[in-house]
Amino acid sequence: MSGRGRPGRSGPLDGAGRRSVYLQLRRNFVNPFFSAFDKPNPVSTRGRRSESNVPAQALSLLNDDFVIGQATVWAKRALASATNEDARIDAMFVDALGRAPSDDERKRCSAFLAEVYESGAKAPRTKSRSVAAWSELAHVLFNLKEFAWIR
Amino acid sequence: MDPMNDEVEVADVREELRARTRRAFLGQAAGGFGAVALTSLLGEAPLRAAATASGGSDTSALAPRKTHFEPRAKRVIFLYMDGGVSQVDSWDPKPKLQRDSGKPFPMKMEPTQFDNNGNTRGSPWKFRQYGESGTPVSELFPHIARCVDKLAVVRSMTSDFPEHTNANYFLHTGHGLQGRPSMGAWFGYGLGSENRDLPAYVVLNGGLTPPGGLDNFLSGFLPASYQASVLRPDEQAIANVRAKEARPGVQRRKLDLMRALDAKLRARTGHVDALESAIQNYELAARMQLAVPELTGLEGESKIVKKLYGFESGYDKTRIYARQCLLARRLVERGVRFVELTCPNCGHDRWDQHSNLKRGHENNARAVDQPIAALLIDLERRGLLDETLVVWTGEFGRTPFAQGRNGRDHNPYGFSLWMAGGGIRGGTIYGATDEYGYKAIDKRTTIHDLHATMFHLLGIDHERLTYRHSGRDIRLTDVAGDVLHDILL
Repeated sequence: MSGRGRPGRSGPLDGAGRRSVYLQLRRNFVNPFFSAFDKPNPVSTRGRRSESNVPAQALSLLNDDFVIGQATVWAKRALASATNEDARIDAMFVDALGRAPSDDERKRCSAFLAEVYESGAKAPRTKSRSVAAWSELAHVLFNLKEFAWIR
Repeated sequence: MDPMNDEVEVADVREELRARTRRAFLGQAAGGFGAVALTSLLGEAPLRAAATASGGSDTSALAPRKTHFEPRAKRVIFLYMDGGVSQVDSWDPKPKLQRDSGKPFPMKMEPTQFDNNGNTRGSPWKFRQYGESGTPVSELFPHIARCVDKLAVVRSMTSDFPEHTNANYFLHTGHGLQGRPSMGAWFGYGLGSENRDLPAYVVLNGGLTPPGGLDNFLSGFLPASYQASVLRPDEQAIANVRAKEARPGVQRRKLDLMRALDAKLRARTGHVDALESAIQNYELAARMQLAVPELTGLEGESKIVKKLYGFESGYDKTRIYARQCLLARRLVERGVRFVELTCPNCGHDRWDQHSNLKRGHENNARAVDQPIAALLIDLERRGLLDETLVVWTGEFGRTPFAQGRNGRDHNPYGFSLWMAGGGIRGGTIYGATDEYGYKAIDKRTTIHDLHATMFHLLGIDHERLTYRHSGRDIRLTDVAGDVLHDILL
């Protein structure tokens, strides 16, 4: 973002692990991630938020650095939580969707992990192919409709 | 009594019941468009709808649809002038207003927002006649003035609402309250899109979201796929439009896994509109990652064309609007059905000059005048103008009597708009206001008439394009709207 009034430095993307109670808001530099998910423009009050459903939201979940970063955080946790692949997949499903995966779902995730590993993708800092594969799985789970929608 | 077991049993029973309700069965059996979209995209087989314009639930939501009759235009560019442009200062010259300027206003003054009405106030700008038609235009729009022979100017517009939010909802959705589908959504619903890689309905946001907010551009009770995608007119038109995966093919694999898992969810829940739209949005998003950078990359445009639009203007707001107009042309070239442009922020509160009429209107006009004229000329040169309907309008006009020292208050009783392009008879003036330019008195025209006419030019009978909601067949024009045949070719 550029323009007059842009803060000189930004904090870390994940807020250094802190939860936000109040966020500073600069009205010319509205967070596009929030805007995509209908955070109102601070120009005036808003009685009821829009509930839009647009490709911009899909693009945010697919490509926003914050989402990708969090996927890696979760992947590392999953890797640490169990030693066998099936147990890790089950744990991730329970974490994200509140249920265990079906056999078919578990198989598909396994196949996916193998494919990503084979592709040679490496996680940015650790260069670990394992972290990369599990991060991609975590990212997929973030993008499932079952994750985004509460029934 | 084991509470845990009880919970499990209840959940099981609920699952059973859900699976067995007629609604669930029909929802799954009817195969809502999301499911078909999934299968089509897994197999990459293109879908073409033969469905009627009243919407088929068994085809992709945005597949092109047949019109009711032969259309004149295929797409719309809607130039929205946020805040209410003063008609007597732009398209509606009033000699009597000039002569009586400064005198008490002789007609009954309807209540105004600020209730700070002064005397009759003539226009600070001169009018001149242009083109073969001799249509008068004020000094505010010297560039657009040279295109008057392409324009049909309607001087007898009225609105039902004197305040921005309601008037904006009325202009955009045909209804004064929040929650109805916007024009662009209706066009998407009625016609589908010619481009599967870009949204059918795009808003190019110059900086100012109109009062009423994004609800002006949403889909109301129509399926969510029809709502607008709002693009900024700069390089990163939509945030996060570039895929971040380091290895090629990884994103494709992720999308495949995601689709497979989403398909299972869909099988369990049956037809849920939000879910269907979200699934379609992902597919569209994946294609937009290539299509949007291709759209916004202007390297291929010649320097001459960019200069025509105003890319080299000394006024930064003109440069912003120039970019919007050029993007609008590129969007319609790529088959996007409905493109709306909002105004850039010129610092005077949009066109809503309750004070500082002269400076405010001048700056707002300076921002949009050259780019709009360039857009009309460029569309014509490329043979696109005949198939593109261009509409220029605000949500209401302004009072011919002053507000305070140097402003004008809102006036929904008479204002001006113009249309050009597909099927419009250029060089015409339709309707008239009284001698002060206050109220429409000849051929009074409503927003419903505008919408009916827009539909008509794109081959849709506004009375037949309906959607069943709350027990009735609702349409954009509600129970009103007459096509303005007099301004059509």
